[in-house]
Amino acid sequence: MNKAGSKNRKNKKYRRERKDLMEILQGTRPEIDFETETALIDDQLLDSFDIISIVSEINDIFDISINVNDLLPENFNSADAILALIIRLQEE
Amino acid sequence: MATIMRNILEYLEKTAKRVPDKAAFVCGDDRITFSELRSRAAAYGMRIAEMAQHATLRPVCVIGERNIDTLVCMLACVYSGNFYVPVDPSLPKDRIKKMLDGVDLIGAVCCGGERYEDDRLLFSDVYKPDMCGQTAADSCAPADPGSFGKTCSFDPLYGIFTSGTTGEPRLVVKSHDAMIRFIDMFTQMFGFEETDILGSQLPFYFDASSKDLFCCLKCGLTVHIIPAKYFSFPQFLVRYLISEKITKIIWVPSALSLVADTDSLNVFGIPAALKKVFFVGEQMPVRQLNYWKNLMPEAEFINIYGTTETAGNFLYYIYDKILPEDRRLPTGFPFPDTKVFLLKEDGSLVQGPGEQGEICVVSSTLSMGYYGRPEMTEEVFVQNPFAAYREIMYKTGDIAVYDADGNICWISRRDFQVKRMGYRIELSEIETVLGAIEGIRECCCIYNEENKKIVFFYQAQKDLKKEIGKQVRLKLPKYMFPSQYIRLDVMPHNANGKIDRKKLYQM
Repeated sequence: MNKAGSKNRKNKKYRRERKDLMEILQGTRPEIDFETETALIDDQLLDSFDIISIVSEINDIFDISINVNDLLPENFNSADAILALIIRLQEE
Repeated sequence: MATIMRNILEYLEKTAKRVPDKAAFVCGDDRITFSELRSRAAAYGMRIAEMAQHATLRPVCVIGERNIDTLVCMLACVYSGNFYVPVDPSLPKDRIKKMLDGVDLIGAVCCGGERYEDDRLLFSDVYKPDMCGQTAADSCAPADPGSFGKTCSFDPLYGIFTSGTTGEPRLVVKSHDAMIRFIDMFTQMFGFEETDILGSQLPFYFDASSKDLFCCLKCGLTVHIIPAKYFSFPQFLVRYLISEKITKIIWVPSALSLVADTDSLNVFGIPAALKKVFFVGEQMPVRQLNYWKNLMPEAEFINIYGTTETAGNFLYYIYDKILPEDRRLPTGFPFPDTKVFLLKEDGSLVQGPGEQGEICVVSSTLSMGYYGRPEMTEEVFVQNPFAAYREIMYKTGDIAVYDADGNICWISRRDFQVKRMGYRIELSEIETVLGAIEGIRECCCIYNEENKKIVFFYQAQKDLKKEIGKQVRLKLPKYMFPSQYIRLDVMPHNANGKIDRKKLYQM
């Protein structure tokens, strides 16, 4: 019960971030379903050009700076992975 | 007796004798020596010749990923006496079919993946490396002299698709001779040697990649096919350049910019072996170029410019003095043995700085024009109006000026064609495909030069985002995908009744 409650709060907290991120992703590649894709990099759905454009928009919108050391495939394979990266950088 | 070079495979034949056991290509864990490359390509070439019932000089389409097998297949087509047409395997099947309309392909070869089904073809094969003898033992076996040995210098070597003004892809065909002359010139001008290690970025269906391939065959140098994924993640890229001691790269500017924008040379180290950096395909921004030049002052940075309609490049600019960031990088001077001029709309020549004109080129490296499309060929491959004898000049459709030093400086395309990531894109082609969607009354694509995004505007009564997304995936190559679909109640028009693109740009 408690656990679920805390998870809900966390989801609620990041709902805004998630929405903003989805807007960025859809605005770059409207034809991809970012809700379900989990191999954006491994299946070559996103190319280098998309990554650059997404990273620069994320940096602007979330006022963070994605370090070149964080530019790794595992951080970009799904919307959830990208969101986790954003949250980590915001908390740092 | 001195031999007369007729055929670009003679480079491979000679190199495979000189350095048989040296790696020609490295791709991940896979590698192939010159003798293996020669024997596999020659053996598979004989199979292609049989499947083609010994027809020659016909196009064979090669559908394959960026790997060694695909290279073997491309060269095998040449060994069979035919010419190859590389096709992007990620393209929708529909588009491949449409591309091949009007190109009387004799066959198709897939490298891995599924067989390409098309009943217009005489044969369709799936290549596997174990199909042909491939050990060093048969590397000295003579290649079938009946097929490739008869190929003449003026016969086609390969064909490559390019976007056309009517929204139809066109197949540009290049001869052995044009490529031999270009590669001889290019390797001499920029000192390509056997000891060089090339880091290849470009896919094979991208014309500029032929430089990697033929420099390798001629010089006996090793080419690393760098995984595409690395170009999204600069730490992989820089570490690869360092660990493999890459000496020369021919990349599109966006790949170099990625390294600069992420400060990756400072973070991951300087690739000290890298001596020459070429950029091709689009305008290289000076700010990112300065980043490289400042951190690697010993290396040479060279802009090269060409079009699909020539066998290689014909303008170059060596970046030896640092320019201010707000300057546009000059495109450069003509290659030796090449005439380039700027032609004004009234048919006269641009004489000095200030005036604009279309870049026109006369060179022994011109392509043979568009396959099966003589009327399109004659539109742009024309008699040089300033020559009193037969001399063919290619009109590029690119507009340029001279700067004070006499460099040609590219400004823009003459038509609506745009360049994105080095690809030539015809916006009208996107409009043609998406305009066919039921419910779209009118549509227009614009290209935002600043953020390099394609925006698709459409007039419709309801939101068609889902359907547009579906058609985009089905019908268009990835580099043509719009980044935004914007629905309008009414499409703006100008006084002539044409769609008002200027207004759309302001939206």
